[in-house]
Amino acid sequence: MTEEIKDPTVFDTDVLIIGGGFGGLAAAIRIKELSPETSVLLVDKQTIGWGGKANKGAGVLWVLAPGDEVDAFVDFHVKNIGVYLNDQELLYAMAHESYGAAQKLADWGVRVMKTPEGALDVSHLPFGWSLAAADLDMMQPLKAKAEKLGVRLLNKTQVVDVLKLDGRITGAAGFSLLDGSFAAFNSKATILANGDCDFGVMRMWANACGDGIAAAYNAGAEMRNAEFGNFYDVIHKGTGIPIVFGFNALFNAQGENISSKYMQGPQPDIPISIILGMEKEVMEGRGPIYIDLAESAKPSEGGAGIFRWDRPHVKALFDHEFAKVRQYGPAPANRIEVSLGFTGELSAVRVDGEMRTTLPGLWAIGDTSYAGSAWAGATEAPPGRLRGSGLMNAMIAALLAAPSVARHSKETSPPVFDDREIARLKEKIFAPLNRGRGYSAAEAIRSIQEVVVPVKYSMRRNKVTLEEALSKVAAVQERMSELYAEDPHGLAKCHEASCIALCAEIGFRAALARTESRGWHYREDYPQRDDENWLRWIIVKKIENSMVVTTEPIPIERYKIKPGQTASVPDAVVEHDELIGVSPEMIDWWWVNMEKGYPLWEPNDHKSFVWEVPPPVGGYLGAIQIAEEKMGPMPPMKIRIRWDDPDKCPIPRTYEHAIVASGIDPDGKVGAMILHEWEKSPRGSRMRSTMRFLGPVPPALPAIWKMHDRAEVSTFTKFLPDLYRLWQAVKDPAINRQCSLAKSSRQNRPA
Amino acid sequence: MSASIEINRDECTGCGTCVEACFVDVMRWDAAEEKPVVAYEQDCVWCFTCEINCPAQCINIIPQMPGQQVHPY
Repeated sequence: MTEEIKDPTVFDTDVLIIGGGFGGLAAAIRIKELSPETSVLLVDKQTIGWGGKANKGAGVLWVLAPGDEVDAFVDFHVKNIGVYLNDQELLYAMAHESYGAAQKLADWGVRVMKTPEGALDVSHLPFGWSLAAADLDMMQPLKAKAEKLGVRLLNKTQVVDVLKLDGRITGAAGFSLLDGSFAAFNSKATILANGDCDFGVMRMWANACGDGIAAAYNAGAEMRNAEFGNFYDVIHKGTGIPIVFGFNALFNAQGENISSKYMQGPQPDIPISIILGMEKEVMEGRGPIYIDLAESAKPSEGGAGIFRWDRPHVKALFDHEFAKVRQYGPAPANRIEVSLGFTGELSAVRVDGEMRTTLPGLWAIGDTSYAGSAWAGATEAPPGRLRGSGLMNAMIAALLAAPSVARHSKETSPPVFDDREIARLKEKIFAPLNRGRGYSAAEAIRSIQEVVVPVKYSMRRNKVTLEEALSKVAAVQERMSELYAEDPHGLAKCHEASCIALCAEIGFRAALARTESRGWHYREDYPQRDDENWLRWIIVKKIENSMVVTTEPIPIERYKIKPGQTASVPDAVVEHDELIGVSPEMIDWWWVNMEKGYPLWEPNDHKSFVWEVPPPVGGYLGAIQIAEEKMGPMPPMKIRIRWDDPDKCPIPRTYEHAIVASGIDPDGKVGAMILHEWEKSPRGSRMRSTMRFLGPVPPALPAIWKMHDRAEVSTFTKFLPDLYRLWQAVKDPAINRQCSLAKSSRQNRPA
Repeated sequence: MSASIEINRDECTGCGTCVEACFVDVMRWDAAEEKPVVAYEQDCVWCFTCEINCPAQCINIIPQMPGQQVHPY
């Protein structure tokens, strides 16, 4: 059904979708499902089924899975990632829709990883959300599904502008990359699904040049959150390949661990502090920066995690890349020099909850409007801060847009074709072909990259550097009228150069306006977050021929999570299965003799154990342990735990025996507490564990802890009766400690 | 970032997969020969999609590393 253009000039359709990547195909399918009689034309500058970004990443989908708490996730995201710039209503919608959206993808024929029972096979991440996964051939089944539903596909056609008549978007105009013929589209509804702006820097997403963002802006649509289009990742300096989660094991030239120097605690993804820290180390003469893969399992786990599913296309891509690096790249080493890789990810087209832009008749989905939709707040489109949300955002945005697009196209009469506007656009689009050799698109793009890539312009910003960046962009833009092309391929490059320059200007102007630091936006002249003045979105819009920057208050009063509130993560409760053959006395004994069998307790996760303060003879209170353990996908970490008195613990309890494990910092301050309680049952013991998080503890990880705790306690049946029995031979209470944790014993104990 | 692209035209079956697979318009179709041609090699970003998916395995991409060349500091 693919239609190659012969020489038509006008395509009539109810719905035009510009961009045949993951989001565009998903929207096309969903519209056809909802409204089979609606005609849908999907157009792409390359080949539908192969193009876009989705099939060139890791194929992971962020989801809230069973066991993940939506409220806890939203709370964490708003406070730590979106930093109150979120549209919290849309964030809730995303969280609620995510699991079903991944399942729908499977219904559409995409190979989404599932358990033998048919549930999504997810990895729970330590911060309270999960990743589902699909194989990288995902575009082919989506294309097949779209064709089966009657979606028309048009390849190798670059759309440059959308058409506007009487304030309403009525179609688009572009050209064929194959023969240079002019293509005009007459549509009732138009969806921009052609991605964000990566400024042509990142290899695998090289054609995400902000085509749709520029088209929307030029037609007068509002941009929002454009200051968040400045993503960096740690890259292998010799290859330029990103080292995902590599930020956890960085060292300067003097061997100092700069990850721990610039990061506090585990991070869901690369934090801005490490970008600024890497630059600082280099600028102060302590570069270059290295990653030591042998020093930390974490970076490799970040990569290895994606290989746990059976996904041949993912494996093929990564294996192939590794093989090429071995063949043509630098020699392998455990200590690898790294650099900062700028990706950008400007995705600022403003949309509402149905993905409508501020222009009637125009929608924007996927990476075109990831930041502009504001659900993610003060962050850029992925890979930033919430890995896997690029695919999921594209999918949910398509699902949210489809009903209103279908409705609109039914209620709207076909637009009048504006011949004069078409003629004007035709002249504009083909102008570079009619010029003699002048300014090359490659040179223009390179000049913009030299402005957006340096940290001083895109990350450690101030008024002076931002104004300098803007003047450099302006110098490139002044020469846009000299851009020339020799063929349609070169013409495409000219338009991409123009989009990249425009996106750079939009991003820098928004960054100049935000006189505070927040999320992934840092101003060294305004280093503090300023909630008093800046709970506002920055809006960028073209008015007449000027770029106008305004602000708009966030309706924070309408939202559940407001600055200044204390964290209120609900208690995590685990009701354990009956511990057959394990008596309450054995469990009492265990808590004061843990060093005798710590690795047996959870053979996969437990690494080392030492008493900093051993339990007193006959008692338990005040004992402090340093336990090195791994929870779920997190790397091993040392935790300091003190045994505290259950009678002074605010968590309610019902069982006879109890102990409180308080997680404490070096000053003895309690960050979280676990009440374990147990009592005799017909065949052994019944037990419950409750974790309470105190104060602002961002990595609350209730779901991960629950899995970990269940794994630990269920292992009692495998080793504790035997271990307890063997130790009965040792009678010295200083070695084989004895302590009753029954309520009656505790009450009888002298104070 | 760029690459050298070698196509063994004797082994190429002319299936056209590489032309479809290229997302940066490097590969074009030679209708007369019914074979692919490397039309815009300078724009290759060595995604390897053409090479991996070539049924005849007759493509070799030689990447130019590093893939990012503008200095961040």
